[in-house]
Amino acid sequence: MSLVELLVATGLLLGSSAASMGLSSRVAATLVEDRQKLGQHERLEAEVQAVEARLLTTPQEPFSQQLSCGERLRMLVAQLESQPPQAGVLRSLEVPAGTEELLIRLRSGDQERRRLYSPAAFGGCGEAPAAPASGDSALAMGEGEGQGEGHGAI
Amino acid sequence: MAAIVPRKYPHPLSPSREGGFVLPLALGVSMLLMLGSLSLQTVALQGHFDQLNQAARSRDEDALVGAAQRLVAELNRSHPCLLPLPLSRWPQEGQACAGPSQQEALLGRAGAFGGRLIAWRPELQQAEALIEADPAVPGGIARRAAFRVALQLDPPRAQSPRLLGLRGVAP
Repeated sequence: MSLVELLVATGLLLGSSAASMGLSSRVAATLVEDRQKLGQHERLEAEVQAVEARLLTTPQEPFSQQLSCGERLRMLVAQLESQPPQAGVLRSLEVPAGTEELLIRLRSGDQERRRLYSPAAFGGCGEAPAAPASGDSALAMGEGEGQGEGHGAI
Repeated sequence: MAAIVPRKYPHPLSPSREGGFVLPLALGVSMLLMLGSLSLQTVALQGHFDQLNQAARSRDEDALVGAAQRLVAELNRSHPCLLPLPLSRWPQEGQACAGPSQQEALLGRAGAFGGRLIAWRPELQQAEALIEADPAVPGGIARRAAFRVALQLDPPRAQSPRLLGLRGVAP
């Protein structure tokens, strides 16, 4: 065993160890980040399921009556607002201008889910094509309740 | 007179009989370290890509659920006579409440409801709808979702589309 051999072997080991540690630390950082994102994804998925279950269990009797889509939209919003979102999930309800639809945004960390629901798909409403008056009422609700959305922020 | 015999000195880089195992050992250990790290990195990258795929799938699922909601709402509102008819009979028997251009809007790519209706299979109290959405990113995978819709025939009305499953469609 010569001195040169010893020096070369030591340098090789040091270099490979340093590279290996660098790679390992990157892997660890990636794993931690992935674990966080997985948790966010699971929270969002659970909240999506909860929202859907809540909307589907909305009492059907009033829906079979002659309610306008705007009124049914308000009922859906009220149904959702009665239950806060899960911890770590930010929920906002919006009514896009000129529509009678409910856009639900769920956010956890940097991940977001967007679900769109239409009251007319929950048993039908407004047999005739949407009249301007009903559109106005939906829009008015969007500007009022729908955008006071801070509810649910944890 | 004694003969002068030149003494042999080993070359510094030549392996000596008693040494020479340190360098191969270091090489082996280094290779093992690097291979281990690279395989860890590969596993981490695989998990990362799986997560990206999962996020894309969730986005597509959200888009398809929105499309199903819009489709059922549109059928309830403007074309209830199509509800009891399978898709193949729409062009002939659905003229009463949906003209060709309106049917085209329902069936066309990126149509009025944000998806393309592939199939509509009504049964007694429920219908199955198959809806396809364009890929979220150019060149991506288009996804197709099946929904079960509660159906009332008199008067025709659909209610509460529920997602049954989602799958990718080969381009």
